[in-house]
Amino acid sequence: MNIRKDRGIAVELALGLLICGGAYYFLARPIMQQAAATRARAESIISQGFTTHDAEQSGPTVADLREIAHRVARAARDIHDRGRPAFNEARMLTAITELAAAHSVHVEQLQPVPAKSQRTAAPADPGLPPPPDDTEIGYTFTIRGEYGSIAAFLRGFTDAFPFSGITGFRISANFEPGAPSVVAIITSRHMAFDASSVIRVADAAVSMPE
Amino acid sequence: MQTSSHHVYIEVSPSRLELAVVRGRRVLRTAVQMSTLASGEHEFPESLSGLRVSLSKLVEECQCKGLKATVIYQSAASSVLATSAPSSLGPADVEEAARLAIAGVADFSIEGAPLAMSALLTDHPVAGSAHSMRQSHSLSATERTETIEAIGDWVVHAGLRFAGAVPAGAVAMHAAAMAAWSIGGRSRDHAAVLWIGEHGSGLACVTGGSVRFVRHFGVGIESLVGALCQPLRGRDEQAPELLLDRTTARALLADVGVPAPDHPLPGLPGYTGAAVLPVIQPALQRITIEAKQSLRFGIPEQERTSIKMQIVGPGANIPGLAEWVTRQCNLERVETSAQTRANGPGDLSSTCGAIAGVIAAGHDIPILVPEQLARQRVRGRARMALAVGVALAGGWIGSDWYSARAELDDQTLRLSALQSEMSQGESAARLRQATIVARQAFGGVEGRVAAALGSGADAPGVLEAVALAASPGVRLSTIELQSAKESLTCRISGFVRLSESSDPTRAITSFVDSLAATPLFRSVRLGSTQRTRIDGAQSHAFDLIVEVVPLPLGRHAAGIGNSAPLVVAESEQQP
Repeated sequence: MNIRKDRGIAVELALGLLICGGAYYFLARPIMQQAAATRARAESIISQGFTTHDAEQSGPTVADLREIAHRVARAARDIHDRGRPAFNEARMLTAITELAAAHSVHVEQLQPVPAKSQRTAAPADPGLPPPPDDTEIGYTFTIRGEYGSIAAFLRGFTDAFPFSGITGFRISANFEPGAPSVVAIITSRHMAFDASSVIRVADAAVSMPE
Repeated sequence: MQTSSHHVYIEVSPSRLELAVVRGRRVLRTAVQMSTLASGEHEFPESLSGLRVSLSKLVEECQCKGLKATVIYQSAASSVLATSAPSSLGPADVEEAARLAIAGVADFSIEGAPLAMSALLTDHPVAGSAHSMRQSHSLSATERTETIEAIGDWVVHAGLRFAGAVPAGAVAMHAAAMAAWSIGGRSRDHAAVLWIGEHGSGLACVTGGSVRFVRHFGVGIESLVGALCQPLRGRDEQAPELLLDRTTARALLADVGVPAPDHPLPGLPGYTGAAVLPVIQPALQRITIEAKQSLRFGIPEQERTSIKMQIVGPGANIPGLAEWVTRQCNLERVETSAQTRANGPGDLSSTCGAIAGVIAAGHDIPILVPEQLARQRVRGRARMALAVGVALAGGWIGSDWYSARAELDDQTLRLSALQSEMSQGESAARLRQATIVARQAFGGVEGRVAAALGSGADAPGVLEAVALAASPGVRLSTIELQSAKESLTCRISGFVRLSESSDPTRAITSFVDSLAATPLFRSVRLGSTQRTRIDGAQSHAFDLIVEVVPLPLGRHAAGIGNSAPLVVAESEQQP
């Protein structure tokens, strides 16, 4: 019997080849192609400069950046809030009176000068953010007391009110017997700065998801 | 316990039905049923139907049901032939040459008939002769299909599995050839071996490493047994003729073989070798003539004289037979070395007969199987090969699949890590960007604060400096600080009572000098001075214009502290 002439065996051989080929084509090959495609995608990402060890690279870490953003937000909030009490005239009267009492001087008169905003006009381009709303207020007040007390009062005033300055004063001696020896008319300037945009950006950075 | 390594060999001949269970080449069990039929009374394969029960009994006795069985059979119709072909020919050509040769000697058409061929021997190369002169010898056998099918049915009926059938002649020829090659294979050796079986014999001659001929003839020791069954006459002519049955005759032949004329026959008082020799003479001569004629026609006379002869097979167990044959052939006899002797007729085949010959030959003997069985076997082998191939391919594909799967898992993990890293990197980049923007905006706010506050006079410092600088006798009326765009001017008005100072000018000058020496003041200019009455007292009044050094005003917030990492980040943004 010649095996080459046996159709049955030929058919079985063909079936065997078909099974093996099919198994390779439908089982092994797709997985191999999938693995190759995945490897190519990984190589593509690596070619963009990413590695699986980027977290260990030098430079600020995410935690560092978040801490800096947090500090920026805190400092901006501090600037934003510091000058605000001067714009409350009642609180300002109380504060100056308390300060004067502490330095043995008497407040005889307090005159606020109306606040004015630094934001003068609307932005030219509506798409741009509005300019910061920095504001300024002034006070003119008269106090009476001893020369040294007034000097100490002024020292305390500049310490108590940040973002402020004494723009002028007139001190006159009172030579009347029994009355405090010096009358001082003082003008001051107080400012508040708008850091809300910085606070907004820094807060957004702090709360940015990982 | 019988396993697939066990095999059953059955010899069926007119004189015996012997079964041997073999493992490897070791005979484990044997069972035999002797027959009293003469060769001429044995019609093969028709006689097999009468042996069905006998074979079943032997199978039962040896407990070998289900094993594969190979049958060695004695049939006058079987054709066995040793053929030779140049060793340079390929296997297909050698097979084709053998097929043509056996077709010429078979008395039936071999088309579709079972045919088997096995390689026998290849001549040693002879110095000086061409390679093509070397011959490859093979042993071919063929049989009628119905005979082999009948043998197969007979075996299957007994509960065995038919593995194939071997003509006894093939066994005789193979055994003779192998024995002759073992003593005549060297260049100077010339050997002839006569394997004498029960119903046939094989003769092979090997000279100088070349097989000269291998042939088979149908005379064996059963011919001598048959001869002994003729009436025997004693020395005393008055004594009655002695008539032996085949069993007794076999026993007598095994005892005395070819006796000397005066050799007494055991158990037969009054009878000597002289009574036996005349009756066995024709059978002996037939054996001798077959051997002599074969040598005479196969070997040139000058070579014949140097040939040594050996008798092997069951015939070697017959006393005096080997000496008689070699003497009659005028050849030097080679002693049969380590000839396994049968204990009796019961295990003759499996110890030194046909079964032993087939076991010794292993797979190198032609085994006939029916065409259908052969096809099934080929298909079975092909299927097995195919299954093995498919399994190997499956294993290879599986291995590929597994490694690809592992690679995919690795790459997926790697890609996932990279994608995560990329995502984190993008998040970090966004955070870095937002932090930089916030930091830059904060710088802008700081700049606005510094610009808005600008600089001014240190008012309490001015008062303290003026108080420190005032010399004794100097009284101050007013101190007025005015801020202009680019200057800070302090106007100081005072006076010195003439009643309190003898040198008011000096007191004023000293006051001016002290103020000018104060770092807080840039310049001090004396304005108008005049003598005047103040509060009823004569005094010397004066005005001073003091230019104050401006200092930065206001106090900033605490700041953001060390932002070195951010600086790095900013520098990364601007390569």
